[in-house]
Amino acid sequence: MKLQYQIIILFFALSTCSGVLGQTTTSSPYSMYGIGDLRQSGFSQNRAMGGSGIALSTNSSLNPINPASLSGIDSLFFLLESGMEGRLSTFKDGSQTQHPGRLNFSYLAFGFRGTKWWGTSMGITPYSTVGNNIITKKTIEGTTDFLTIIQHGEGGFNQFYWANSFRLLKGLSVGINFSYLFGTIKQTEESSNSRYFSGSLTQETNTDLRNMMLNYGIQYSVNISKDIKGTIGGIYGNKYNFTLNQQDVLRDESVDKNLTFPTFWGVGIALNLYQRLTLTSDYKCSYWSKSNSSSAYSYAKNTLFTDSKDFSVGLEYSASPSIYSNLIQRSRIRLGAYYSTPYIMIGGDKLRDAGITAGLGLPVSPKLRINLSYQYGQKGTINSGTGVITEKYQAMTFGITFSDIWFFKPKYD
Amino acid sequence: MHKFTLFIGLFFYVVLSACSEGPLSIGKELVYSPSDVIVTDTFSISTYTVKVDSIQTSGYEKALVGNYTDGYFGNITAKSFFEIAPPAPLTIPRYSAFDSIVLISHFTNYWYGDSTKPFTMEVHELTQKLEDLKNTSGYICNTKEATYSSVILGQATISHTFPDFHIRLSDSWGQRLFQLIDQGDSIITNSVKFGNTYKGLALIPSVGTNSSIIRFAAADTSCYVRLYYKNEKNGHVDFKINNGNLQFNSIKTDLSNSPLKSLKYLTDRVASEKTGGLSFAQTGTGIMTRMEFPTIRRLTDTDKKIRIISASLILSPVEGIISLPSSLNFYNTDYNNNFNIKSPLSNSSTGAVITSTPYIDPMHTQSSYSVDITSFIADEITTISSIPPALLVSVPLENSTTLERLILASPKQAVNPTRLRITYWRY
Repeated sequence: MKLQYQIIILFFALSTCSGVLGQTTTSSPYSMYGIGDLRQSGFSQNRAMGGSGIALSTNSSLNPINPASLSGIDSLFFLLESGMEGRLSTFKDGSQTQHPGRLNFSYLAFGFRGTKWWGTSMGITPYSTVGNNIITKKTIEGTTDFLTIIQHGEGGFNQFYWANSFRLLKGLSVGINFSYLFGTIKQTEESSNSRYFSGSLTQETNTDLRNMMLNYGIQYSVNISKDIKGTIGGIYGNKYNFTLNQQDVLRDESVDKNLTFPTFWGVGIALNLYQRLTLTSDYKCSYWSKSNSSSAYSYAKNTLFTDSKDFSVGLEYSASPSIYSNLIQRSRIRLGAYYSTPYIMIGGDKLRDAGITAGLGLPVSPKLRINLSYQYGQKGTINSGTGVITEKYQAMTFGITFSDIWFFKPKYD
Repeated sequence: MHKFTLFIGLFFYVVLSACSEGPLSIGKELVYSPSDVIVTDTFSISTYTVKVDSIQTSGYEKALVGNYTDGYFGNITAKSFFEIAPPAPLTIPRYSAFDSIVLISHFTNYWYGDSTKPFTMEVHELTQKLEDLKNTSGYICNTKEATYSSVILGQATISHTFPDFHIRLSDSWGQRLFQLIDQGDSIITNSVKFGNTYKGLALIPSVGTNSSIIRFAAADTSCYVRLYYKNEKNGHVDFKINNGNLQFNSIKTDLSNSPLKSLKYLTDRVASEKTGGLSFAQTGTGIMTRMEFPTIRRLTDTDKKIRIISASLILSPVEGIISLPSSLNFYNTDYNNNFNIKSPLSNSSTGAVITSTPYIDPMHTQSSYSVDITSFIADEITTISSIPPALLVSVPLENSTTLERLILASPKQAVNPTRLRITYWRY
């Protein structure tokens, strides 16, 4: 069978699996905090480059990190991208080691450049995911026996976005991104001890979010020399006071809680050398500490939010990006690294998440490329102590990009 | 390149298989569990003895007769009453002569009191129709008594150790019956006339006996008056018990020499503090233990919610004095000891009547009755009332043809006290 068909079949098989398993994937005890694990923004290409992309201007793929980047799309193409993410983790807490995995839908988006000065993209991607399934025990008061408690969290918030980019001047683009955040986090606690009662005592809390937000981006490119192009970029989002609706199923009560989605900003720089090598670096900061952590629902102890900071670097190399070159020459190799402090704190300690990335962009056929990224990282509290959980993980993002010639290339560009 | 697809597939296959891993124990220190399961048995219980009236004793086909004095339960006198009727049609061969007339029944292996002392039982003729003693519910109660003639029709010394008895009745009374039959009198052929003339029999203990109360069969097949006649062939006719639902036992209690002497009306109660911590129950006489749970509603004094998982009432009987009843019943009651005799406490989901059979401790020091009163407690903790939730504990009143006793130990005793154990979920 032709490789392109194999890839497509594999992709859809995985999509189906993630849909089926989406409700039961075990993943991370960290995700029981706050509104769950905030997902790294960016598609497979960004992931392979350490997650960077604020200053990345691509002509044949979508870069969701900065909406201003869309006016760089080659006017020939209509682009459709989708990705799946698999993650294998090793959690350690000093006395034990466990190896959960998870498989998630990662993104689905399309985009094109409508005019010389306007590019646009729409897509859907997870914003945060909750996937925890933790077993513990607790004394039955008044006895020496224990309850078995299973706390289970699933769901998360997705975002549907519509990004638009406008080229104001040669080399200068601005972008605006409309995001609609929606989704439900479902948390349950089941207590059981068959000596005292049959079945289990179940509490269930569902937290719903339906809100809209806007954020902005800018990119400015300049040719430093004949073969060196430099780009700087910035992104910014104002804070939003969102309403979370929480339903306590057992008590049949519903309350609204406010959760501030914080102001964030990010800056990035990129250098493109000889049209073959691209270097990028990003720094992003979100002021989660200003958000009221107690307003987010959690069965976790001591939830506190802190400002999240992300630093990333990446490179992409292609022997010959021209469409007239052969497959190997057109393939892209990507490398990257990242260091970040996530928005949640555990027991008053900040977390650290750092890793290295690598990836490939392979043109399988004229219309289909696959973008693979591989990530190896470690996550844990900065101050190590007893009972601290560390996670070592490997993640793979498997993305496909369809590109079709939709528009005739204007004679003068 | 095909190996490449295989590689991707393999990675995700490994991820998929790891997805099926069960709950993690890593992270358990981070979990905040908002709910608790709590077991507690420190609720205070107040116990009282009460005496209810209107215990149905009719229609059970058992006769209780005798007299006994018990230190706790006082002096009890039991008398039994029933109607008789001639068989129809009733013919005696011509040229027959009266021989004798006897009352026949057999004992049913139940007695109360001192089984070693036989006593004298007397048979009298009723002067009142039993029909007149029925209450509005159509039955006759333990406190009722029919009037009867002072003439003794017959008497015998009996004891439960005899397998059965034949009490010779008055010959003149028998002769009169024989004549009526022989003449084909309408008193015999018309059942209404017979009932107006022969209203029935009373079986009573002789005055001054204090030995035991015994029980014998009083169904139409087991208890009858037999008239013997003489002819070429001797024969007999049987006057069987008529209207079995009017056969009843009068059970009168004199508590004047008992610690329970202040019990006169349904609303009266004697606190167990005044009876050495003990409380009492006895079927037949209507004595029951009232249990109040004054502190259980405090469970709901919390910001959280409460769900009762289970509630067990553990009753600690006093052993050694008497044998333990094989079963106990429970009734929901109000402040005045009112209760619905037709609806004992039942399981709200299955509808089954809640009963309790005893756990018998081989050493006879820690025997107990354990009873699941989950639905009672669950209902009561959500009830807003200043009156503490209360139950009546009774030896089963259904077929109350015994005088079985229960003596309960104090809820305050150190070892094996009567207690209420509630397991609840606070969330």
